Amino acid sequence: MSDDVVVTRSLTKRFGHVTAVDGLDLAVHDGDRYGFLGPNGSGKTTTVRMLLGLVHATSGEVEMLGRAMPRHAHEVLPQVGALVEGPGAYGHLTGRANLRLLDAAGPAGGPPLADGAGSRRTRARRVDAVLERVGLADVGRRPVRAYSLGMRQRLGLAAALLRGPRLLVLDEPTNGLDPRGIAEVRDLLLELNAQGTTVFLSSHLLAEVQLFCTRVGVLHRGGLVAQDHLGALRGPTGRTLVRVDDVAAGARALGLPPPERRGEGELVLDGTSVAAAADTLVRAGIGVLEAAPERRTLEESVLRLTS
Amino acid sequence: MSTVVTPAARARWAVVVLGTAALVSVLGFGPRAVAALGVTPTELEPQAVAARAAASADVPYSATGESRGALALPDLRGFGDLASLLGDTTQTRTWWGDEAHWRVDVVDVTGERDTYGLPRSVWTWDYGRRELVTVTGGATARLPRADDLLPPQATRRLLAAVGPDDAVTALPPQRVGGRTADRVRVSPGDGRSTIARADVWVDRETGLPLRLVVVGTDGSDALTTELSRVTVGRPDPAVLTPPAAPGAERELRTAPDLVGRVAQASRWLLPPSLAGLPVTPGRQAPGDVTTYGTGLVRVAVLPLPPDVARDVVGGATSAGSVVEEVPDGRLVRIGSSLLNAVLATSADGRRAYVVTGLVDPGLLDEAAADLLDAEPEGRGPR
Amino acid sequence: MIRVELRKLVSRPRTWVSIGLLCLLPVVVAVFLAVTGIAPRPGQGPTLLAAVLGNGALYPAAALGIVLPFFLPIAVAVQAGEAVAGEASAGTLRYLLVRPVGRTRLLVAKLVSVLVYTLLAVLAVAVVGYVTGISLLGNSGQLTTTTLAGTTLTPASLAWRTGVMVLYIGWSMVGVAAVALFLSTVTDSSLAAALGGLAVLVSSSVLVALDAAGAVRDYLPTRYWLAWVDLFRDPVPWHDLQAGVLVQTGYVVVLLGAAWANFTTRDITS
Repeated sequence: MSDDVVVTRSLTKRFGHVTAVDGLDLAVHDGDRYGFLGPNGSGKTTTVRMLLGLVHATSGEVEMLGRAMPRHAHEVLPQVGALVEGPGAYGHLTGRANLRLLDAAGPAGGPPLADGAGSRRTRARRVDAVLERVGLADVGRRPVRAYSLGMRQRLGLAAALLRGPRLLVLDEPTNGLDPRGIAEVRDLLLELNAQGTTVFLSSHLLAEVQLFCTRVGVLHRGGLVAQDHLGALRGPTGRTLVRVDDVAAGARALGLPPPERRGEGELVLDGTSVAAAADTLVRAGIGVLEAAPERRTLEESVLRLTS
Repeated sequence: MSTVVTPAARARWAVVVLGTAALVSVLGFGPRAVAALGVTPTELEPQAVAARAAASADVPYSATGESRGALALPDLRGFGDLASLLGDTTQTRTWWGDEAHWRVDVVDVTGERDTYGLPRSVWTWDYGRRELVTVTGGATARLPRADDLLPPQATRRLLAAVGPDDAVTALPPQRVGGRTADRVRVSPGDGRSTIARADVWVDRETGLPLRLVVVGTDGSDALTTELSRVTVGRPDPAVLTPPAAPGAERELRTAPDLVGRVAQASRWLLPPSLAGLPVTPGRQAPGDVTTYGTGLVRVAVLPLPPDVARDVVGGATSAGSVVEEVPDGRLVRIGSSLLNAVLATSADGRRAYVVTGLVDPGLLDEAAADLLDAEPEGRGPR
Repeated sequence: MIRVELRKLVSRPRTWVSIGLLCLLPVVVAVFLAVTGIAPRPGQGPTLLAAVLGNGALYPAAALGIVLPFFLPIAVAVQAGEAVAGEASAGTLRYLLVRPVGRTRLLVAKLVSVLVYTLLAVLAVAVVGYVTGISLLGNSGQLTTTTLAGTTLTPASLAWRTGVMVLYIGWSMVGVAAVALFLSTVTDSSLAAALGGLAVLVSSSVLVALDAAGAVRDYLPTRYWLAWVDLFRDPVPWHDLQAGVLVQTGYVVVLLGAAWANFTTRDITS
């Protein structure tokens, strides 16, 4: 028993002869922005469904918010917001009506949550608030069948936020969103995380995870091949990046091939001592703005782990 | 989609399967189990059981009934529901006070035909035709009706015909529709009968025949008729009163059907014996159908007016029967395993007869030849 | 949850369109009857239809007789087949379940919603039948309403018989709903569930008419469907109606049990 919000132990799921998830041991800490990465078909969605009690595990255990799932689904799930494999809504109803129905469908009282979450009295206010939050306040009165894919995605997110969850389990939340929408959603999630919500984000988009997550689990063929802090996962390459105010002069001073452009830029140092190089640069009158070891991109790490 | 076999799933399915099994066994096999419960043997001789059944006409009861006939008869015009009555399944509801107070409904999905027996008349209500018909008079000649196929009526008719040559033997008692029934078997002594045997289930409490199964000489169940949901006791008199039927057509008749009319109008006297069978002893009223023979081998003869005969022959031939020329006229045979009939027409076309009975067709041919051969005596102008 | 399902039911246009279509056929039949004055030959056509000319009070029963063989089971099977499979294919099922709504609770709510729909549909046909019957076919009083046995039916007697008939046909339809609801938990396609339910009915109707199937006949779901006609006999024979209720209840219990066992233990992958 730890204070981890999501724990799985040897979680395994077989569909007939196909093993979708194989002996998975996840650990998502409280306050994490956890990136659950893996290519299509690696078992991400099946894992998410097992976490939420939609799919029954063949063997192994799932624990969420300290309680075993799916046995304690009724205590756990009211504190969890989820977006699984795309949003779902009744096309003939408005976004607002959809959220109200979904809110009413849940347990009436539920556990005592912040600011009266779950009570019927606050329903209209909460629905308006989440619609505002995801940027749907203006279109909440239109029937969902007239929504674009991005708007539906926002509605799904709104549904997940409806009860101020402690844990958000999001499967590909930025599907169908335009770049601006993606940024908005990211900001929203960062804000929620800052307020204490743990975010479990399953995605195959490495760039998105790299930008947002603090910890990452990499799934490959149903098994976890890595689970660590983003920084640890992105190991140093052994080279150093030095940002200077005159990249052409800097290259000249260090005897590097001349860069393509002038002005401010980065110099890539290979093997040389950073201190010595900095010394040389400073003596040549070139301003050193920043010096840092170069790290692999997440993409490179993941490709290395899953190839 | 897939379903995991977890212990919880297995337990839930087990609950459902066991529940279903319990339900099916209670509903499906419960009645059968009760029926198979031990039935004490009877102390009565088979003749005594038969005698109780024969005397059951004043046992009041209410019941539903079903009769299944397997007799393939052509559907002839003027012969009403005879073909469906003897060839199909008929569902009935019966309320029986005594022979002068009864009601039998023939029910189907779209309506019903109800027959009311009153002291001096018989009423029939046909919902489909919205027709209320009253038949008065004592004419006994008529086509079989649905109430004739009820186990009590059919059994009483059968037992009344049993002669000294026919055997009545006992079978082990059984339960029918929740009632204990003694069983007797009637087997004809004369090989010319088409009946191989007839089994009768007689209610031990009241003597009411509950079921009758007639097996033909070809081994098939030619007629099965059974009462179910029997309640002993006098039915509510209101039920036995013919309906007011506002708006319905009303008709008053003195003859119930074609046979009755023909029997009353017959101009010919029939010979005292046919094919070696004497006229059945007993009272013969004008308007009755003459029968020959004793015991279970009996032949009924009905003279037909020429126009009716042409109609019937035409109907029978168009239904597939073959006309056969014989020395003194023509024969058309209609038959099933149990009931056979011959339409005999004289060469000059003036005389025609229906000869019928639960007997071998050869015997009917003989009788028909005798009829055509004999010079008839007229009954005189009518 | 039940309230949510009912709100969904009434807020869905399809509910009202299907009930409207269901009521349309008896109205069309009534219009033709009223305009031409030609009643079906006695013993042919739907039961009781021969008796409704100039006798509109009997038309609710005749109207139900018209929609019972096809339209009513189709509407109910579509509605029940949609219940779970429709949520699955719309993608809303998983959100309801993680809301969380207990699977048994969801199933019960769906069942109640289907029950309400069935009762609404049957009642709507009866009410529309009464209104069209009285207004188009008249209640002239020339013809007194009679039972199948020819005895006179008082208005009170007709009312209770029609009421029992509505309940009986409603319960028969619940049997249909149970089949479709079970299939709806098996497949994610509401069409497949509805058609599967109808396939069961068609098979049952074929077997009921087959003498060779006599051994199982009395246990088939459609065996006693037409027993409501018995309500218009005099005296009313209750045994077929009782048997019908019993058989339907058996199917409802077994199929709902199977639906529950399947739905509560299956993986939701839609």
